[in-house]
Amino acid sequence: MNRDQELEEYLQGDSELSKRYQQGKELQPPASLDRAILAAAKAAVADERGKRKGWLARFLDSDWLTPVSSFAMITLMAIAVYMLIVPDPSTSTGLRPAADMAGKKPVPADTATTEVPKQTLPVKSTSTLTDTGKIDHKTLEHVTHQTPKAWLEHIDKLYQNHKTGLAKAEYRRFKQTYPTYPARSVLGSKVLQLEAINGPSKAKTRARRKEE
Amino acid sequence: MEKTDENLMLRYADGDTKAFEILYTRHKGGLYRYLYRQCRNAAIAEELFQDIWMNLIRARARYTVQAKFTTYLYRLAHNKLIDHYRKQNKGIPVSFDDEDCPDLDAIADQRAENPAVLYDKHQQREQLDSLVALLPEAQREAFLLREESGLKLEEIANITGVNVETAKSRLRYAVSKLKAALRGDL
Repeated sequence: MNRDQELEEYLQGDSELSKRYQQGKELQPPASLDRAILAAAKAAVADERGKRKGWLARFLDSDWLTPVSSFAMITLMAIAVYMLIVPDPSTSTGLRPAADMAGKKPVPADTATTEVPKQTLPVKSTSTLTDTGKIDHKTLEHVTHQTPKAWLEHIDKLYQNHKTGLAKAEYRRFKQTYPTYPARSVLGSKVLQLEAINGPSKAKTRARRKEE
Repeated sequence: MEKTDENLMLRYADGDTKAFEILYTRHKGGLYRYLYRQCRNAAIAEELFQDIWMNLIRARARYTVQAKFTTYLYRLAHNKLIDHYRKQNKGIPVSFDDEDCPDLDAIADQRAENPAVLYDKHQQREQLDSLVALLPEAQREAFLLREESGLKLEEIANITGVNVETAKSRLRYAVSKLKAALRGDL
């Protein structure tokens, strides 16, 4: 048999040479090497997964997030319980004192019509004047209006009904609440009369200037 | 999905470590024996073996099915072995340059040192191992690639970077020498 024939026979796969060689397949890499390579394969994948994770996922996986979120939850619950147990005195009547409104930042004239705080409509105006003709300011403080315009219209109505004292008191309170609101747009020339009637005393003017 | 070597490697590239385990179990023995019998040193064989698998792990994302996985794996192994030869003082063995390399004398000497009759299979196997070890490196490589991975001549040529005729010639000489030594013809 020449070498080519030997090779052909060998390549067919059932030669005596192959059979004998295949008997010695017990030779294997050491188990420690197996473990090291398999561990490296797993570590490479785990490392890649870690890199692929976005900052949000890594943030959510972080160990310190659980205690922080628990603390935040407890704090929010405590605030909610406190608000339920201790009601806000200003909201108990559903009305806001006019003094609060007076303390608010002045609204520029050009934006006054659009950026005014909402107020409730007049409650009752029956007790604005006492029997002695004096103005009951406590009652006035509870008379509030939906808009500055409505308030001015109410003042105008009082003025037309010859309730001049009440009108000037309302107008004074209006000017305290909306000092820059263009009252003339509703009241017209009546403003001059109301201001003349209602104008502050010289002593008060001096005191205000000093404060300013 | 079918559990071919190529699919397993693709699955591993996608992060399936179980697929890698299957692939590793399939090929670890053959690859290790190929390296061990080529360099004839357990420590070096283990080092090369580990390097090859680590290269495979690192290159998993770039893996595409262009040939059989076995071809891909053994090409890595062949290149690693050549690097190993280069680092040695002796350099790359001459047999890799000599296409035919009919080095029959060494086999004849080995045959003369051993008893003519081998009584059991274990002895026969040991005898074959020692005869394989005496083959020139290039012929031994061709024989081991055939035996350990069942590769065809074309694939052996592809892995070792030679044409099919050279691969065939190397294998032909290897088979002829081994058969002759075992028969006691030499």
